Amino acid sequence: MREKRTAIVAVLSTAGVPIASAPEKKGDVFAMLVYSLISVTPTKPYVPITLDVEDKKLYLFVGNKVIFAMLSSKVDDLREKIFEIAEEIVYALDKIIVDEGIIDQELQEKARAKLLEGLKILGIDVAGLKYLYRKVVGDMYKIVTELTANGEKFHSYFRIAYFPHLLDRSLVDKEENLRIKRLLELCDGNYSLEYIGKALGFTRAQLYRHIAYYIKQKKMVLEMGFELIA
Amino acid sequence: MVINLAVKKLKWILKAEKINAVMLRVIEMALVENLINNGSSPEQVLKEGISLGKSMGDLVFIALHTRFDIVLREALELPRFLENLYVFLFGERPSKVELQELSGEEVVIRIEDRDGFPTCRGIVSPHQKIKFGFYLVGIIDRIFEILKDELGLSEWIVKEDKCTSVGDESCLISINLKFKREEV
Repeated sequence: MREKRTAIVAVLSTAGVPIASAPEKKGDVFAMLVYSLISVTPTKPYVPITLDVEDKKLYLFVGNKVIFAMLSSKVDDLREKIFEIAEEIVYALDKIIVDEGIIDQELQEKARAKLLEGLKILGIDVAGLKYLYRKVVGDMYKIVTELTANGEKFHSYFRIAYFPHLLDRSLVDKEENLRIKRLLELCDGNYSLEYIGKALGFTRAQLYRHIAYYIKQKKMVLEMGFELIA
Repeated sequence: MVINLAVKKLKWILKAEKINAVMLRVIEMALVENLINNGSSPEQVLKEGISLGKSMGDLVFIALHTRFDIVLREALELPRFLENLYVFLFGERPSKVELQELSGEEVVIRIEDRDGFPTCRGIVSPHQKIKFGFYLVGIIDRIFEILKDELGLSEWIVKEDKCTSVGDESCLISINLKFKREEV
């Protein structure tokens, strides 16, 4: 089964003000995390930076007034293209922005249009982005708490959740019951038990019995991680 | 049939991972010590202990179902379910698990161990309000929250009525269940 290419992307000012993000209107916490991380990662402007965040990569491009950040997995072959797009956006906005603390509506719309255009060029599924958001941002939070002293300020945004991870993906193709097949598809370590239960309409008890069945077969593990509180 | 059951039990004894009751008691006592020494009241200690038990509830429910194939169809099966939970956690049966119907829509289930729950044996509590079955109370509370839709529960109250750690002759947990419709 081919996994979709997804990412969380944010453009923010060097004063920490979110300008544009994908998924839309969900990027604020991500932008705050990026801002915290950059504040302890001194860098020269206009130098591409790649950081490891769990099994994902954080691509950063910091200008004088604008920061581009993209967190994604399985796109490292696109690294050069990502930074080309980041450079274009950051240079363009750096010229326009007068005060990095004040970002007007028109500028936000322009930045968002550029961002979406860039994601389209990269072949990243924008519609699928929002479903991964809570876990991906949770991974990012973990890194921020490890690297910075101010991770505590994000504490109320996150909670511990359990993410079922099916170890044998061939079971997805073999499963004939469509509902269970969908359940197994979602058990890739990126979706919490709570999310899966709600998305598929399982009661908590039904979901847990299915999960228990695969754990018993040693085909699944429960991963503990951080999740953004919805 | 009898041989099969005996083999199953033997497999459980030899192969299943089990909670070491001594270790569990040590963790409980360390928690109480830590909270009290940091200024918590006995009520807060109890609340925190039960809250930790609730956090354990989801994983215990999943782990229980990796050992037993249990599907609850009616409230009458609850005593057996709770007995299985007890055996799963402690490797022994409680002295008694009984269900009493209070009305058409309300039942009470009592779990009693005359030797004390394994979490409470040999412990003398520092305060009458701190009964050492708090993890078990929290676990059971959370499990009924997980089961509430299937059982059609409108309300459930789990409390530790007696505990050997505060001088009672036995440990006793009572679970009051109110059902939405005719599930009883």
